[in-house]
Amino acid sequence: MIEFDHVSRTYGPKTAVSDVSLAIPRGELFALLGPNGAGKTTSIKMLVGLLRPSRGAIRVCGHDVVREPRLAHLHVGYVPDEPTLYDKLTGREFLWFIADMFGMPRHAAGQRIDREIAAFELGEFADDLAESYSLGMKQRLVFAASLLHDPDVLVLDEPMVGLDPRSVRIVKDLLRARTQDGMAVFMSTHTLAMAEEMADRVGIMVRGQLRFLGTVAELRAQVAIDATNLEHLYLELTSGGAAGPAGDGRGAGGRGTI
Amino acid sequence: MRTGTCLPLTPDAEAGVFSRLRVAIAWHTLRGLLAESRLRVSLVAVLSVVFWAALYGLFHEGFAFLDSIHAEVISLLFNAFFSSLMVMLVFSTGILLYGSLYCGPEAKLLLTMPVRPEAIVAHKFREALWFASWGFVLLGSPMLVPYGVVRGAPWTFYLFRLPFLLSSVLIPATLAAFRCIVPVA
Repeated sequence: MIEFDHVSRTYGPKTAVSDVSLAIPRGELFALLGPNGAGKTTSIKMLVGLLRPSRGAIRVCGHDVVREPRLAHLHVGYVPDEPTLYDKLTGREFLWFIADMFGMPRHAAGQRIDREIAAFELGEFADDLAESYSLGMKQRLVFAASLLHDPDVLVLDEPMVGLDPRSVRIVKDLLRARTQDGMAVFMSTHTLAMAEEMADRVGIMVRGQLRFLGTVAELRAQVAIDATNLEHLYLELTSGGAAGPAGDGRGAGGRGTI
Repeated sequence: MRTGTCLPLTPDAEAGVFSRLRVAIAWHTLRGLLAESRLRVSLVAVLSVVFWAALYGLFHEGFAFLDSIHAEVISLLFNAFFSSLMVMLVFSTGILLYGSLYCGPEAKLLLTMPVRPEAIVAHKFREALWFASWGFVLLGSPMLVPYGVVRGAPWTFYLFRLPFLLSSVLIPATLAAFRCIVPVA
């Protein structure tokens, strides 16, 4: 569903993402971890079409995000780290706007809007202007908007920021349900417990390179330290000690390694 | 595919979606202002009328005076006035368009959706045009109307002032858009 094919991105002399290749199949929840400035957000921005790769290609459901951006975008739902809404639209109007942008038929759009409002418990404030929403309410609305067109691929950049525990639970349950239904999820997060709990595979980025790609169990097996949780493993990898880039043969992610 | 019911919009449909968006935002903004800031709205309206009337009176007296001395001075005055306004419009539209296209969160939101970048640029251009040009009409109309009155112009003169003002807005705004987009593209 998602393919990064030797993708690099430079900003002048600085390389933000270096020769990343990975494939995320249907129904997989993939978590991208890494310290600040590792290249996670750049990778996500390239995936959703906000940046162009300097080299390589990214495909979503077979559509190149640079050559066929509109076809690729039809298959993608995106939740940015900072929710963007129109302050002078109500939540329901915003959902209608998104439905219109994705060319959804009116009848189907109405049904899906009601479905997402119920799923994310937006009913109480769906007809209020977004300018009156808290950060958590905005984030829930953006989640609802991103799932409105039943995307094949959901891209999440730090999705749990601003959500209260109940909303986090709602999102986790929905992600589980949707991935079982075949949706692929590409998630960047700093919440290691979330990655450990939810992700089928994790990728760890350090200074633009994918240092590890595989399951948490494979990560434990790879990093030769007495560590029982992902936090220890993560700190070990990102401190530049134990593991080399996944492409040097030490990664255990199979087809996705570089 | 799960998104099989969705299709990329036609250019007309894209324009329709953006038009509905602008209408909805304008409606909520106006309703909010009338509900919560009546004093501010009233003050702006009253002061605009006073400002317009004062300019009208000033220009009326000015044209009457200049007309009695030398009519060609009026032509020079018009040229200088509208040239200045056009330069101001190039800058104001350019700043607004640049900010909303490259620095604003809305463009980032729209670029992740299955719409043509041209449609996004056109949407933001219309928005910048509106915000930058209302002052042009406010300043331009109290100059043109008294000119017609002083010279005893026919009613068609007043009728065609609106398209004249609109075209005077579009030309500098288009120049500003080129200045914003071409170097980046």
